[in-house]
Amino acid sequence: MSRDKTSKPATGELLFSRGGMVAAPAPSARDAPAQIQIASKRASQAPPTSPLARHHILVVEDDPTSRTLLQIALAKAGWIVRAVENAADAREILTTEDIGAFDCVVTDYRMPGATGLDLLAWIKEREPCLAGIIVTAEGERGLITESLRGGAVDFLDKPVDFPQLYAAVKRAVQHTSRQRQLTASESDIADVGRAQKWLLGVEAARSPVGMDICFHPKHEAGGDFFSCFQPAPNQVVCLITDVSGHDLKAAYNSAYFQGIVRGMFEQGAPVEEVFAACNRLLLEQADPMGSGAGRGAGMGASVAAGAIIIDSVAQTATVLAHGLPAPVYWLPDGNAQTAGLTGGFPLGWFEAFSAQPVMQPISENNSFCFWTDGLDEVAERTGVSNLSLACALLQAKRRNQRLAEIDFAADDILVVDLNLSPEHDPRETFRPLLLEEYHGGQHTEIDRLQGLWQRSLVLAVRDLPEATLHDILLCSRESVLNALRHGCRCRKDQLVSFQAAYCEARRTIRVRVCDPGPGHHFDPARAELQSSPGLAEAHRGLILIKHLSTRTEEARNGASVLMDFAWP
Amino acid sequence: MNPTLDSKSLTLRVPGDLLSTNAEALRQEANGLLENPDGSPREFDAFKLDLTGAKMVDSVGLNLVVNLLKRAQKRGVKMQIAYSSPNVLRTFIFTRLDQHVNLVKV
Repeated sequence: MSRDKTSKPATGELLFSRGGMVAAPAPSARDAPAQIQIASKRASQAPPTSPLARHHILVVEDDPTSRTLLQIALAKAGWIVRAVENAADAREILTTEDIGAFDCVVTDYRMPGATGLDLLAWIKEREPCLAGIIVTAEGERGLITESLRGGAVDFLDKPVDFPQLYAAVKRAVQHTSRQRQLTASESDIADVGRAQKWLLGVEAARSPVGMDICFHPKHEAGGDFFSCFQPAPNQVVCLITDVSGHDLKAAYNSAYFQGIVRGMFEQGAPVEEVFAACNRLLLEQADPMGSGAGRGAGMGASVAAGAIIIDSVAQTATVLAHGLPAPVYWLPDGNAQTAGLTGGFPLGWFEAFSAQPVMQPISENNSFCFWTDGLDEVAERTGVSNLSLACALLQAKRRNQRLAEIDFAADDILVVDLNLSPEHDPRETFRPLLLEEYHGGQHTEIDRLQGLWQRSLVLAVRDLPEATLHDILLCSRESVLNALRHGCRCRKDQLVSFQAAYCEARRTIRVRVCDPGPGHHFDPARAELQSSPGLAEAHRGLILIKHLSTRTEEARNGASVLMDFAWP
Repeated sequence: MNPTLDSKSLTLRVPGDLLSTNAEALRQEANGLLENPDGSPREFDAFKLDLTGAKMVDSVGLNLVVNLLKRAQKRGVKMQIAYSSPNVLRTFIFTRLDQHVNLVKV
C-alpha cells in the first residue's frame, strides 16, 4: 500500500485560505443533517494552516448544506477535503483512488443506503490504519460504543461544534499517522526477520559441515543467531548466540556480537579468550563510565553463547556454552551424550568469568545438536523432551509446516543440527529423542516418566503405530524399573541412563538402558519355560522385553540393555 | 476395583491399566473381596477379571493376575479375563498366561 502523502488534491477539492467564518442554523433533531455552528469568538481556536497539516480528509454527509459547511470548515483549517453524499460514493473514491492517501474520514451516521458505521467497517477491512469519526444526532448516543467497536476513533454530536471538530480531526489524523508508522516499523522488523532466516540458510548452504537449522523468533525478528566459519583450514567454528530480548535491537546486538567473535577467532584467539573478551566488552558497554551504577547507554544486553570448535586434524571438538544448554552429540548408532557443561551465566552479567571449554575426541560421523533455551521452555511446558521437540521442529521445517507446540513460545527458538560427515544422510542414522538420567529413588515416578516418553515419541515420530508405541513403553518401563530397583537399589546417588533414538530410514526406535549395578545372569528362554507352567511370579518383564522388541543386546551381564523396535 | 457378585459369579473390574504403581493396592482390595469379613473364603462359582479398561499390563500387573489365578484354581473356580486392547492380549500370549486362563475379547 502506498503511503505517499504528497499527491496533489484531486479535482473538485476545495482549498481555502484561513480567515472568514461560516454560520449555519442550529436545529437539533434526529436524522438532522450535520449542522455547524461557528461563533466568531471561537475563530481563533481553529488550527493554523501549516504544511504539516496538509492531510486528506474525506467527508461523507447526505445533507448538501451540512456537507458543504463541513467541507468549507475543514478546508479553511488547512486540510485537503473531499466530500461525497453517501457511503457508496465514499467506497467508490476509496477504491478507485489510493485509500492510503487519506488520513481521516468524517462520516454522518444516518444516510440513505449504508450507515456511517457500515462504511467504517468496510474501511477497516481494507485500511485498518485509517481513522474514522462518526457524526451522530441527538438520540443516537447509544451508538457510541458500537461506533468505537466498529472502527471509529471518535464521534461528534450534531450540531457539530467546530473546535471539537478540529480537535477530533487532528487526533484522528495523528492516530492514522501513528498506526501507519507502526505498520511500517512492523514491516521493517519483518524484513529483518526474513533477512535473519535467509542468512541462516546461507550459513547452512556454505557450511563445511552438514547443517540443518530451524529458527522461530518470538516476534518477526529475534536475538538468536547461528554462524559457522572456518578460521583455519583444519578448523570449523560453530557459534550459537541468544541475545536478551526478542526485537530489532536484539537482532542488531546479536549480529554485532557475532561479528566481534568471528573477528577474534579469525585472529587465532582461543575460545575461552574470545568469550572472556566479549564478557568484558558487554560489561563495559552496559556501564561505559565504569561507575558501577548499572546499565548505561551502551549495548545493554547479555548474551548466552555457545561454540563448538571442530579440529579435523586433531579429531577433537572443543565445546563451550555460557548461559545455553550444552549441546548433545551422538554416533550413527544413536549413542548420545551431553557435550560440555550446561548452564553458567550469560556473557555480560558478572566481572568474574571462568570459561571451561571441554575437549573431546570425535570421529567424522559424529553429529551435534545445539539449541537455545527457548526450546527448553516449550519442551517443559508441553511435557516433552527437548531433543524430541528439536527433532519435530526440524522435521516440520523440512515439510514447510509449523508445530502448534511453539505457537505460544515465550522466547526465540533456534535449533541447529551439525553432521560432521555432510555426504552422509542423517535419516540413515539414529537421532536421539530422549537422553535422560534417573536416580534410584525415582522408581516411584515411573508413571510420570512413561508419560514423558510417550508424549516425546508421539511428537517426534508421527507415524509410530500404536502397537509399537505400546511395546516401547512397556519394555522401557520394565527395563528402567529393573535398573532403578536392582541396578541402583533405589538409591538416590545411583543413576540410570535412559536413551531413545529414532532412525527415519529404518523406521526403528532404539532404546538403551544402563545402570551401574553388576547385572545378573538371565536366560529368558529357560525362565519362560519355567515361569508359565508353575505360574512363578518372576522374570515376566524380561520375557516381555524378549518378545516385544525386534532385537535386544545385552552387556555387563544385563546391566546395559539395548532394544530395537521396528515397524513396517 | 469395582466388584460385583451376581449369582455367585464374582467380577473384579480394574479401572485403567494394571501396572506396578497400582498393582499392590489392587491386590489388597482383591484380598478383601475374595474373603468374607470373618476371614472365611467368599463363596462364588465363577471369577471374572475385567481388564477392558486397560491398555497396558506390566510384569507386576501380570504377577497380580497370576496370584488371582492361583487362588481361583485353589478353590476349583474357573477364571475368565475380559480384555479389549490387542496389546493386552499379546502380553498374555507372550507370557503364556493364555494357556491357563480363559481370555474373552469384549
